[in-house]
Amino acid sequence: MNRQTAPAQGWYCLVVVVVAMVACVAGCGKTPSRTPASEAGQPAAAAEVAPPLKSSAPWFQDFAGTTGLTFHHSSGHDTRFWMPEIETGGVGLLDVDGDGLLDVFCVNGGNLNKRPAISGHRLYRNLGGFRFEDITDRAGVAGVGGYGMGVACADYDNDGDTDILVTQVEGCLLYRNEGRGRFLDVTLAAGLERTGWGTSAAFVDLDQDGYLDLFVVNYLNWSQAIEVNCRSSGGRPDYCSPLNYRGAAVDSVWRNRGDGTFERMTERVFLNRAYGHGLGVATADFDRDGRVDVYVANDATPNQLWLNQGNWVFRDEALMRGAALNLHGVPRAGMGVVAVDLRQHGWFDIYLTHLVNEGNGVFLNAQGNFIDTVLPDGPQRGSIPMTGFGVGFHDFDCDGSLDLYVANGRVRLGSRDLDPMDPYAEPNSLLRGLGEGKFEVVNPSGGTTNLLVATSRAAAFGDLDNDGAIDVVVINKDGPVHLLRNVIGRRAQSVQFRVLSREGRDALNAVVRLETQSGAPQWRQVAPNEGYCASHDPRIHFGIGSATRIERVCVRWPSAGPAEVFGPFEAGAVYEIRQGRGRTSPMLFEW
Amino acid sequence: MAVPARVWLLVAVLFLSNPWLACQPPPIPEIPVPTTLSQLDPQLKAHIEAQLQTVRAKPRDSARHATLGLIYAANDLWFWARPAFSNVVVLAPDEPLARLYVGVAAQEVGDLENALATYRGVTEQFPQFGSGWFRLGELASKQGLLEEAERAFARLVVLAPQEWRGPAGLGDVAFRNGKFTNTLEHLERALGLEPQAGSVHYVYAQVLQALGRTNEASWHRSMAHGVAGTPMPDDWSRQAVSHMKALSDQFEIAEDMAASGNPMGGVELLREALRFHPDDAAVLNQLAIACNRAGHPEQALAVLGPLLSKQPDSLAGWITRSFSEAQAERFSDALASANRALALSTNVAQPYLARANALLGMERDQDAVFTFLEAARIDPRTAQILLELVDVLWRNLSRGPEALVYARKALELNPSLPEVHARLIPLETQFGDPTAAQRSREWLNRLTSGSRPQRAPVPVSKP
Repeated sequence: MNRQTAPAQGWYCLVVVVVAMVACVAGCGKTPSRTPASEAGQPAAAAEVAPPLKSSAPWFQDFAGTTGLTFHHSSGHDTRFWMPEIETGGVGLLDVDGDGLLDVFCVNGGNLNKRPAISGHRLYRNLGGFRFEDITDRAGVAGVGGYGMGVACADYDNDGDTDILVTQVEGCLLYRNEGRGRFLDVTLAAGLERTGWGTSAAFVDLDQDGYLDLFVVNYLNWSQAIEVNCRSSGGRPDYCSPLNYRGAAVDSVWRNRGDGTFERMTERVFLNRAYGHGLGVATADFDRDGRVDVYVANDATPNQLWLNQGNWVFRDEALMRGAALNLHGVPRAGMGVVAVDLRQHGWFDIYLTHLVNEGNGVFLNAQGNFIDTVLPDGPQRGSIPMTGFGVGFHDFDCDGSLDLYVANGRVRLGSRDLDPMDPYAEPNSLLRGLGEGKFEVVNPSGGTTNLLVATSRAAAFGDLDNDGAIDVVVINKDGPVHLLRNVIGRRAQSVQFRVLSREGRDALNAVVRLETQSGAPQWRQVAPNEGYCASHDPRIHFGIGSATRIERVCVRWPSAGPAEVFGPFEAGAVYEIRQGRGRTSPMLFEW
Repeated sequence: MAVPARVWLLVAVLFLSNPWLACQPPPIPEIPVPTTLSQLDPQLKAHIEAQLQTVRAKPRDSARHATLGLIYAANDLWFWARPAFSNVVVLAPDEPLARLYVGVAAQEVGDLENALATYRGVTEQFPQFGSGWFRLGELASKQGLLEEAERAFARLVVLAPQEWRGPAGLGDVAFRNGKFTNTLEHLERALGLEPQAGSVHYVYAQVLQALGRTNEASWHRSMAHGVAGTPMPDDWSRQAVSHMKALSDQFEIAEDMAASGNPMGGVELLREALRFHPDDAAVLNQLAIACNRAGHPEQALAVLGPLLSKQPDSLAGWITRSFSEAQAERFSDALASANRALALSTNVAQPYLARANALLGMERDQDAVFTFLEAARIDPRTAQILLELVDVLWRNLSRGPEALVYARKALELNPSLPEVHARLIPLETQFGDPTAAQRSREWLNRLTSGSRPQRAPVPVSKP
């Protein structure tokens, strides 16, 4: 009974309440009713950080401070906002003394106000077991007062040890490795003059003569006399956009004569027909014609894709092939760039890091033409709120899919600081590869237990402790270096190869396809000089999950010569592959 | 436990019978104030403080909160704009722009998930509101959610058939889905509505390139030169410009005012800025430039005097002074000022342009040519420098064939510049290739269709 009458009374009461409320609205005008936070857009605590998808164990352990890797970068910023201060910070991983352990070279900015006698670059020798020793002074690589930007490492003179090229605002600095970790400044002797404000650089054998040529990316025709005062976000003094200077630069390219000297080819190959604010460089055979091409990431200006036609003829076809601008024809702020085969099918795509609100970019390679692509679960996930610099695709967790690490840090002040001590600081990003070009955000953010928030610039990738997992070194503007030891990759199987040319140096731009019985083929390229102002472990690394055996490894060499096949190999080791010692086969590669 | 019906009745009766309770005004929304307020540009700070006072005087006035939000938004303070717009949503729940701008602010601070949710909410609540569909389509597209983007742009096409961004968005989606024929149809429709839409030309070029129609692709790619993204305008975005207090924005606004025939408006704007930045070299310099544009070089020189005596190494100051002196027909002084600027820096083009300008005034045309060439060497991207050179060579020195060489170089740099074709037509006809002249004529026609007519070039006798 009660159950029958109660609803009737309830309806009556409800009607009365509604009438009352309507009367109130009519009598009082607009009655506020708080919209739920998600709709009304109340600031969320982590509004500027993309939400990670699911929780997992940390991927990296940061312990630079306890290892002897004590580098603390300095931009020299005082009160004036000099443009180079916001771009500086490079890092290179190289084995300076041939002991099989990667050493760490950190590029410092310097001081544009005081112009010190030395630049403050540091070289740390890897003693094994994640212990490092500062050997800068005896190595002689501290710099001579120039304002440092980035680094490229390779054996340019084919003498069996790795040399160092430092890019600076004032031009490059070339340190020849004299053996056992001692270096000699041979910049002038090598003929490397008039290189301009260099940022990223790459050693690459452009003419297939067995000697590594040099491509230097330049940022601006800048001097302190033309610095302008800029402000941002509410009128606070800040760094400028490169467009404020109207001084886009020409990159430079140098032919290695094979006698320890370089010949400037910039004008001869008409590189001076293209201008831009260059920050990143990636090299690969993008059109699969057998020659290595060069892609330049420019800040706020169209990117360039220098297609190598052979015999020192290059054509910038970025615009025509769809790799210069975003989908709508707008140039983005290109910082770091890597050539990566996202779909693991033998065509190198281009991944770029960009400015906040642009989102990082992917140009998918469609048989030599490029399409600016955004997929909801693609490698740009979570990138829109960030300003990306250093970048690397590696299989950190060794599950057989490439993961992605991006070093972030603002170039302009934001409306809200994430770190009260550093208004340019942002957390770095780590995405786990799911295969077929799909990614998810890793939790904890950036892969470390404690969120690392800094103004990160270059990131270098390599296996510092030879445990089969890729570690990361990140340079932070005006901050300590981050040394991220990979603690997840050691749980799965991997294999690494040092791919050597006939001359016995790292065969830069060799393309390697690895085949196991269980998994799909994996593609890598020997590309230590890419990303942002960084140089990486020249060895190539494959995670193979639960597989224990590699059936074969096919190598396509950057110099003329047949592709070769090597193997089988057991997992869990580093192997050396040398050109000319494999089995040749005409059908190794489809192209 | 169920509440007895009598209690509900009592509550309702009390509610209705108590006018004070029934008509209780809404709670005053919390007014967002930037924590960095004290560090902000003084002019912006004053502008914000004035608006805060206005809002506090009538805190339930949604329009005042909206203006506060727009001030924050116009000055890149999106973190504070977001709660300001949220307050408008609360106070004026029927205002679609308020909800929309909550989403825009969320997007700007990188909270894309909430931005997308907000746009979806806007389109549900206000299905006839075109801007909501545009924002939803744009963000969905940016996130790779192509199906949702397609639905949004299709709706925008229905609601705002004259808005080119609707078919342009559909074209984007079709292109990314690899449907080239559909892409062309949509993009042609967009170009029919806005022939100068550079982003549409760019996508169009990509499709044509993929279809092997390279010549047509080249034309559309040229039309995309210098594209910048512009969201669909609305009533609020049109107001935003009046709240821009960043100096760089004000400099641009002053320039735009001069370009649209109101140079004195620019002078007034910058005089007001100077009130807050009395010693700012950039403001003084820009004010002098604005005075030049308004035809008052003597006023410009009066502004520059104190600047250069305080900062004798101000490169920009000497360059502007040189232009002011030339405008006042004091060409020797102009040359001296340009030389001072060159002594400060030789790696930017502007001092050379100032010098060339002074030399032209002194009728030293050959020297001016050399100086323009230097400027072009330092700034090889700017077609306008080459056009200056073309005019001097052709009109003043009667060196037509040489002028043609530089006009062709300017064409390489920027084929979408009508001025280039306006010069190439007579030069190619007279000294070069008549077919190229015809091509330029066609380009000029296409470039100026739907825009203001191109003036013929005039001889350069004076700066």
